[in-house]
Amino acid sequence: MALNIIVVGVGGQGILTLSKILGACAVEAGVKALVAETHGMSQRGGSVIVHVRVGNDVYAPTVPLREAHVMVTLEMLEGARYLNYVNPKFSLSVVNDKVLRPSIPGAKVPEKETILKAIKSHSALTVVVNASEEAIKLGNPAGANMFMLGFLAGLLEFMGLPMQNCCTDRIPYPSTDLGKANVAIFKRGLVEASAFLERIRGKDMKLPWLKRSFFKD
Amino acid sequence: MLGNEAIARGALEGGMGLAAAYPGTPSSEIVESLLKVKDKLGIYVEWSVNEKVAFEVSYAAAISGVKSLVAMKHVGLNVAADPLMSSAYTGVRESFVIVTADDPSMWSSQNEQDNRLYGVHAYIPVFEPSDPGEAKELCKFAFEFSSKVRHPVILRTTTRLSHTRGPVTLGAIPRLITRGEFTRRKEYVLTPSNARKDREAMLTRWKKIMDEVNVVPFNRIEGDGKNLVVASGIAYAYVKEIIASGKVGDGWKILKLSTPYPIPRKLLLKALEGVEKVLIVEELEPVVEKEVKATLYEEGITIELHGKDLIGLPYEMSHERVYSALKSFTEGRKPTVLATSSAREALPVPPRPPTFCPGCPYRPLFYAIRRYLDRRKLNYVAAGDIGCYALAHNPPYNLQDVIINMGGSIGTANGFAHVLDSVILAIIGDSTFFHTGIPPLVNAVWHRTPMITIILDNEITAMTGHQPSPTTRGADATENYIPLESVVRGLGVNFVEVIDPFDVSQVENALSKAMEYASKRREPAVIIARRKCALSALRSLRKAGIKPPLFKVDLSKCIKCGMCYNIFACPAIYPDKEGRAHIDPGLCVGCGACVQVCPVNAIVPVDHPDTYELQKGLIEKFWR
Repeated sequence: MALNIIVVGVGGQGILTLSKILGACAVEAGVKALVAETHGMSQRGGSVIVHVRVGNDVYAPTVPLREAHVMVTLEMLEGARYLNYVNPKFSLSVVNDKVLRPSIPGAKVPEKETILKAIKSHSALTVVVNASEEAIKLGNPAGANMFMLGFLAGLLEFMGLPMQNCCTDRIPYPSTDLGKANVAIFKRGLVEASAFLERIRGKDMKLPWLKRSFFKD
Repeated sequence: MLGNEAIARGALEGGMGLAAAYPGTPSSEIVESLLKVKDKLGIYVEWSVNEKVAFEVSYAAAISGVKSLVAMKHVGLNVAADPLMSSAYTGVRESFVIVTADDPSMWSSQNEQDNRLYGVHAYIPVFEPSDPGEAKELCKFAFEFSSKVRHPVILRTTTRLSHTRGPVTLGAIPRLITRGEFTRRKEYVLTPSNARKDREAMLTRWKKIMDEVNVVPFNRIEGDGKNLVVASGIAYAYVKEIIASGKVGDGWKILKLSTPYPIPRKLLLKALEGVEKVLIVEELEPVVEKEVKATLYEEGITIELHGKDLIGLPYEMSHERVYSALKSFTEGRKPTVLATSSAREALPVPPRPPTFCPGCPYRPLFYAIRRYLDRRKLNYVAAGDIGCYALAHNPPYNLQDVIINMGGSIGTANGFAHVLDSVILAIIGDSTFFHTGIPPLVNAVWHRTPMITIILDNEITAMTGHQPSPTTRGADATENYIPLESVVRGLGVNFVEVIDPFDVSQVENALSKAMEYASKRREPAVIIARRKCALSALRSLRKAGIKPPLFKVDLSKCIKCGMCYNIFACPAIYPDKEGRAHIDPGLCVGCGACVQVCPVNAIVPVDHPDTYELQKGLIEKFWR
């Protein structure tokens, strides 16, 4: 089985860092993982999508349209932009409660409720998290990516891949205050994931892939 | 490991002693990772001034018996095409691997040329991996192959391979030979009489190469069936995954290719045994398809064959394209999905093109130029170039009218000036100026071309990830700092003004003077706008443990004019529903450039003015 994840947001939100750690730790946990990044031009405040594919029968680097099991979005407009990767039958969308206006003259940004409605209608289940807010509280205003890394690590741990230690070992600037804040934010994300898993336990949330034996099947 | 890092590792395992490159997405990380280990391993690695020089540096090592690598993005090979052609004529003494990183779908490029065709053009074998793990092995193998046939080898990678992380199994790094010996031989001197002999020797080597590719272990036949898919490079990964998933049924045989040119003819004929029809899956141009067709004709084989008709030509491969092609192939109908540039959006969302970072010195510069041209209602043409500043093509600046290639700004400005009566501006970055901007500026001096060249000197090659350029100060004790003004004056330009792009009035004054000079004296004028890239300034501030000051909008003063968020357009400034400006403290970097833009002085430091003055004094040196 292959787990397809897309991580989307705005260039500069730390999407590459998040995905790099996630992929490396999946490999360390003994499963093949491919992480397809976009560099260069797209990084300058532009729209960013990273494809993360975990599973031993993965060969191609990108996620097929409508086949993402999880979409993690650091920014809501970008979540709406990449909805053609998610599937109302089985996709989980994890949405950071943050809208960033594109800095082009007169940009018309839809209401937050409208964006969220679109994401919800395309996903089997949508979870809104306060990643940016928590990151600010814990000392790194640019640390929403660490929160999302924690959330994803929590899901993968549940699915049988040990992630936690590997991730904390790889969090940037470990000896500085910033690094300590990053670890705290990561752990906050882990807690959020456990709370989420607890909330949906035993209920039919249309996420058939979210099971402990996923990588063993 | 990133695909590019895997290529670097493969080169070391292949015994590489020297590497040179000019940065360019998606190739930059290859030499970047080699630079990190050069001192430890005692090898020579450099960022060269352009791809042609990088090629020549690396070639010289290879003909001196030092295994070498040169890396560049696909369009970089155009710059290095001249020595590329010659290198195949002379051959090499030791391994010479030319890495070209192509960019299907043009994620960061002006075109999506398929550089496998350079192999066809130059008689150089092309190797192409299918995933990061194989990239490492294949690069190592390319060194062995090149050494064996004494001929350069092209290793072609693409964005989806260079920028994909995947598992890589490391091997041993042998003792790296870094000192060579040059033996004088006529082969290296391409005068016509020698070149003719070289040409014949090259064709002899080529015969051997055509034979050798049949036993390259990365080419192989997988599975068995009446349908044969020939898949090259990353296309193989998609074909393999879809066939293995069982979604397109069984009865498939795959010929996996890692040598798209020349193709292994004997292996192809073996793969064709018992096959009823053939599908060729490859990204971009039908390189393998044409080779297969030629082989079939020469062997007198008639068989149903598909390729670009089912898989489509432009843009990178996708599951959807391969699935649709495989389905159409077996069911004999038209494909449902051909290549498209982008998928349809579920909710119409505003586009988010990349933009100048908060604190970028180019934002106030382009703001000032725009304002200057608009206020005087000047008729102008702004010839642009390749770098972050290409983003000024977008609104609100709209200040690059032509962007075609590296150095093209000054080159085309030379032409515009002779056929138009407009003010002619050429906009070029520091690294790009050194890359290919000098000859066209000499041309302008020589022919007394009235034009204004603005060199944007942020002292680094920013767009590709902050590689040093000749304008980087104090990066490395082994490198010199070359001040642009002395180069420009040395070329014979008599009007040279160095300005701070953060000072809007300074920019406007310099433009006025340059314009007067160019029109009265009928000579080129050069303005150098110097201030560090915000990302490098912020990095050194972070290292020094200094927090930059933040700014806020005094809402009681704000008149909702939108100058700061619509015309200056800093991403850290956004409007509320009433149109009043706010500054996002998570994005503001404290550069202060927006202060002069506000007509009512509503943008003020968050801290007390006295504290701010102190902070400003402290951080200024990091920006200059």
